[in-house]
Amino acid sequence: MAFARQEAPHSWLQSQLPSSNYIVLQGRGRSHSQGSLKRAYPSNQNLTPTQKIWQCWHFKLGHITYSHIQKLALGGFLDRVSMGLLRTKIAGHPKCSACQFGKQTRLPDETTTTIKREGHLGSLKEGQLKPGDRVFCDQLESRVRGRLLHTAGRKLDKDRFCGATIFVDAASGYIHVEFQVTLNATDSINALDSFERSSLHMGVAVNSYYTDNGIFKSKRFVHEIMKNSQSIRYSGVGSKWQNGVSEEPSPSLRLMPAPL
Amino acid sequence: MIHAALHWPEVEDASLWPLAVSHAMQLYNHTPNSSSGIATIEVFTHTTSDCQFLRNCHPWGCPAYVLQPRFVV
Repeated sequence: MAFARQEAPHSWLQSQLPSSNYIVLQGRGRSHSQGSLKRAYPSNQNLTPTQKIWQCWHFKLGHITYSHIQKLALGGFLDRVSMGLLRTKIAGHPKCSACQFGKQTRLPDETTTTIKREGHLGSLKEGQLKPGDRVFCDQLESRVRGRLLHTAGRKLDKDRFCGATIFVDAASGYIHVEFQVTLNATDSINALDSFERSSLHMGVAVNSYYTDNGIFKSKRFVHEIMKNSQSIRYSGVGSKWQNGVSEEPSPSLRLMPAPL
Repeated sequence: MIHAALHWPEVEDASLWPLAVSHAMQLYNHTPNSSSGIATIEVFTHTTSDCQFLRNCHPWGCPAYVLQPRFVV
């Protein structure tokens, strides 16, 4: 196997990644990226078989932490081969260049100060012990139009996904995402209906929603909620932290699509 | 999507973000908690899972091939 330091062919990543952080491995190997270029840290050149299995599960499970993979292997959730991970030390895990890049966040602007009050942590989920008792809702919007899930990608831009509605159950933390072509009331109601159908299919009836303002306060949406004998509660105007559960459903879901 | 762009840059497409989000959502719901060992979907549906979904999953964006029927024994 020949190792050669090359420039990244992908122009966007080429401008973002420092060239000293990755190398390009070219050659024949039975890796999952067989036949293509493989980028890795210099320390990843000679991985042990156990470390390769560890890295493989890291890629498969959406770049979750290496310690989490070890615990899953310990619990017997993964295959028998991965039981060898129990003998490895957490410090010896291989580096993942996608994770190193994906977990980068914006630096604080040093003009606003956020103080978490210990007594109020988890107060939004307090008392919600049954799935469906309270569901948090929020919408996300993307500048890049997304491909529909059932087409070959030849749709016009206006017919592609521009955003989604996220539903997060307070009791279990279950996340459901419904993609939308527009973010108007009609599509939001359709997303709501689709979520409720899927929840009922799993034996859960939704009792109440907790959302921020915006399209969730439109007459048609509220009428739809009232028609189903459900209740809806809004966070205060400008108080996005009151809907924090769906604003940031989980660090893993927020960061997972980036390094995938 | 960074992992896919690094490994298979010739097929990288930003418009596939709904598929990436959907895949991440499914992985999050099916992955057992590191402390309790219970997946989110198990709590939501009051059922137990054998984690077959995790064992069968693939890295997002990896090349896939369709097996033609004439090769199936």
